[in-house]
Amino acid sequence: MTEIQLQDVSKVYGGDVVAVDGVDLTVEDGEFVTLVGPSGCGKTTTLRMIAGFETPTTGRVGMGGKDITDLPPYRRDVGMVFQSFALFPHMTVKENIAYGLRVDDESHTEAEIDARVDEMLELIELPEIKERMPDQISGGQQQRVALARALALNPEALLLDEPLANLDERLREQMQAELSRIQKELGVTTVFVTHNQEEAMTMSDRIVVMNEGGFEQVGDPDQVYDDPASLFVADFIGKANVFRGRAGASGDGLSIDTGEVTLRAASTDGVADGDAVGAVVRPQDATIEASGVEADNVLSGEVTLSQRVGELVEYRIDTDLGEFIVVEQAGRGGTRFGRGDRVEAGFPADACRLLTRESVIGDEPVTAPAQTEA
Amino acid sequence: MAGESESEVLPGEESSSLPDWMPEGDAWVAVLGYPVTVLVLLFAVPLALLVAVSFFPKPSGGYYSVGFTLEHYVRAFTTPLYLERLAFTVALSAGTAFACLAVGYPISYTLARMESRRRRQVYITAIVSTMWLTYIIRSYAIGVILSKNGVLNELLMTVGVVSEPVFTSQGLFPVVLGMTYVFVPFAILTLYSSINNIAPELEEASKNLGANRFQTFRRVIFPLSKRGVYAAWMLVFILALGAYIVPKILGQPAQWTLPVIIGDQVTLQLNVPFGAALALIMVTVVMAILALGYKFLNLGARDLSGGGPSGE
Amino acid sequence: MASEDNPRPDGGTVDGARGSTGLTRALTGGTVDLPGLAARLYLGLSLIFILAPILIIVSISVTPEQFLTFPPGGVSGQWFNEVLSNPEWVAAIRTSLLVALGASVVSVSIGLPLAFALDRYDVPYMGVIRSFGVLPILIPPVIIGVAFTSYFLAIGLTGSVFTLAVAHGVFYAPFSLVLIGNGLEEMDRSVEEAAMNLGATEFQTLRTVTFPIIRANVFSGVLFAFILSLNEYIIAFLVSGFTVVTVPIKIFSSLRYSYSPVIAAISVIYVVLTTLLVAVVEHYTGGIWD
Repeated sequence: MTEIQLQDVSKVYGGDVVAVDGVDLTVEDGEFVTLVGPSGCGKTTTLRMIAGFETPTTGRVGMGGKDITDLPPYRRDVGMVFQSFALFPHMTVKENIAYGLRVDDESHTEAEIDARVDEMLELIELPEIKERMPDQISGGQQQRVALARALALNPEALLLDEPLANLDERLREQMQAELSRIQKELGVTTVFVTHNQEEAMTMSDRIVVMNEGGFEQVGDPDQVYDDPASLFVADFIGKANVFRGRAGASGDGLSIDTGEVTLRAASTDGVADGDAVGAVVRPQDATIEASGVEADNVLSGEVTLSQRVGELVEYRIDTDLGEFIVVEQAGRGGTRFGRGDRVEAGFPADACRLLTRESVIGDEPVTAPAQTEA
Repeated sequence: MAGESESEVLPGEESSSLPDWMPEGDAWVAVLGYPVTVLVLLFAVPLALLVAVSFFPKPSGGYYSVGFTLEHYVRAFTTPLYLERLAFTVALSAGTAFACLAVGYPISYTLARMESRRRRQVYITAIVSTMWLTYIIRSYAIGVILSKNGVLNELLMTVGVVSEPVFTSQGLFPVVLGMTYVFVPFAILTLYSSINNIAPELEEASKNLGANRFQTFRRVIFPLSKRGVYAAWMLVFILALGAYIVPKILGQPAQWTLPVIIGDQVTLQLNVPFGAALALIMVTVVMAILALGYKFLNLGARDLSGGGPSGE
Repeated sequence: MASEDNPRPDGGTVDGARGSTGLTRALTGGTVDLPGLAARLYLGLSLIFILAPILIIVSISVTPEQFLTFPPGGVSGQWFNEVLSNPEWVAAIRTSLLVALGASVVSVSIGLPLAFALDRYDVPYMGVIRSFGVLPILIPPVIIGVAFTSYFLAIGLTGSVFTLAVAHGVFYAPFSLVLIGNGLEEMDRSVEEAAMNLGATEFQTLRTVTFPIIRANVFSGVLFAFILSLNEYIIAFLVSGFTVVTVPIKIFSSLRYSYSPVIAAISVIYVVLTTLLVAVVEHYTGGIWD
């Protein structure tokens, strides 16, 4: 049972720079958890505290039931993959992978080491590069070797620090699939750090959205996407249309008055009449037509951008509320509207979720536009 | 908060740690301690001593005796000879620096733009090799070439341009030639580093826009290599200021530079304090020039130490 | 007439006709890339300028005559014989090698920890220490020599191989500092963390990862100091107080008397030795100047 536990962990530099602020997390055995957030949110620092390269200012780090907070990195049973891969440039691929076994306290025979290296090369499907030097193999191959090296010691946990950041798009997608496959196969508890929310969504069992040293939200990808805890999360994960205003009543539901327009909205817990709120509308929940849209909320405007992104088409419309994004499946004809077309976009009330907080960290309320404070 | 942690850190393993992820590492004091101590004891102290010695009186029998006197500085500043030598030294060094730039820049440029990597490597190795050789051998070589029955004279006489030996093995021309010869590799390498860092695409872009080679050079390449030019000039200048061997071997007393005078004061006249005073005056001049260079041209220790691999 | 696609002799990518100036184009019909040709000619000449004196010395050293003439009449090994069988010259060579060895050790022993400390730690006054570390070579050698002389005098150490090795070592420490410092800087620091992640202690990491990676830099620092010390005159002369005779010192004093071919012979020996060592340095640093 290897679970990773963070108990009220903080990291403060120089007395006043708070990189990580009192976080709690339990990563279950075999789980793939991703720490995601913008630069500087503390995700890498958190990871490094689990690895042992940073010592928490307060709090404890536990693994498999043991408190490892005071253990130096070489006494922790974790394997880490670095953003730059950090392959030893003066050693062959084989020696790189074998390194952990060689410096191990227990001695291993050459045969053992060789067998293990072969096993790892099998796992990453690259048996042919065994004797090559790191500068002789491609970026994608280096990445896999780094992974193999980290897994060679059969660690209790696997930590990855933005390992795919240095790869081009195509390769990145391939590697995402590879990583997922290997992780599932081995069942190793994994903590993954990235700033790319798409990556986080694709690969993880659970996501931790971080912001300014704290956790905005922890949940599985669906939860985080459908039920964001704050505007920060809604904006960071996936695309979103966000409007700020004041909540009001409307029929049996709620409304939001942005000053320009009033939208009918769905309730979310704890929204009271008059609260400053933010409304989140996902682009794919809206429909777009030239005219005659029937929905709880209809916005009209001129298309400023229409582009095809894979199997989807994205439209950006200039409306009274500002830019509004609509995404739909690409039909046979490709894009239906072009720049300059006047269109209407509509969405139902329950696609318009109201949130009361900008961010969970600091419990910031939504800043409503221009109106006098109640 | 400490609780029952089962840390197994073995004693003695932590305090000698070097990596930087242990911010509480006081180990650096130990690591830094030895070299700094050595440098202080064996570099700062001797220099400080030099300063002190320059104020010591010179007894007739020995090297120096402890005391305080300004006589050496007074002598240095009031005797026309020394100031004149200082001026000559500065002028000679400046001239050498310019000569090295003139000779070296085209070489550096051609090298930096050379297509064949191997040929370039060969040339550079050849140039670098000569750099290491003692100035003595190199000056000797120039002396041989310029001597009365040496190569150059023989050549000119054979060809019939002159009827008598024109060059001598000692004199102003030999000294200037010798200084340039000896220091030009430094200029070449510094300039090479700098020019090499100018992306060739810039030249291509310039030519693509219609500029001929000369214009490209004047408007694109030269300005971009300015930093290297300044660094090269500075480096040669400072090195030339300290030149002892070349003027001594290839020069008559009229061409002796201040370092030569200093050397003679210490070894022949056994007047260490006076030599020290002259030395300090020189150091001050060098420091002042370095400071000026740093201030106006933004040159740092980086640029002068071989141009640096990242030399911009 | 010129073809528009005339490639430059030096490999440039723009057609020659457009590149050369109007005058040369007019004179040569555009087929000859005058500036390019001139450049290569200049390079060739300057290389001759740089290497010729050495070559001349080589030829003098093999002259069968009894004194210096150029061009020499033939080839003879007599002068090399003279040098290598002369106990004074042999002693000088030995002394030079010893001093150089000591100097390189001292130089690296200062430069290595200094480079490490500056690279790894947030040392206060880092800029000052770094400038301090580079300072020795910026000061004219004669001044360093005088400083060391009076210093050793003051503390009662007479000139010896040891004091000279130390003086040289301190003087050349900046090279080690800069070379090793560059190596450390260019190194990807995360490989050390990777090593520790895989179970290596700090010491094991230094031994198996860090040092192998910077080994070339350390080695070139050693060689730099070695070669420079071998060839250094003025500090040696001032510090040794006539008790220690290195090759440069002996050459210099011999020059007083005449330009004998013996000097040429020892010079050649030195040239060969130095060039070999330089080639080794180049090999290990792999084009340090690129």
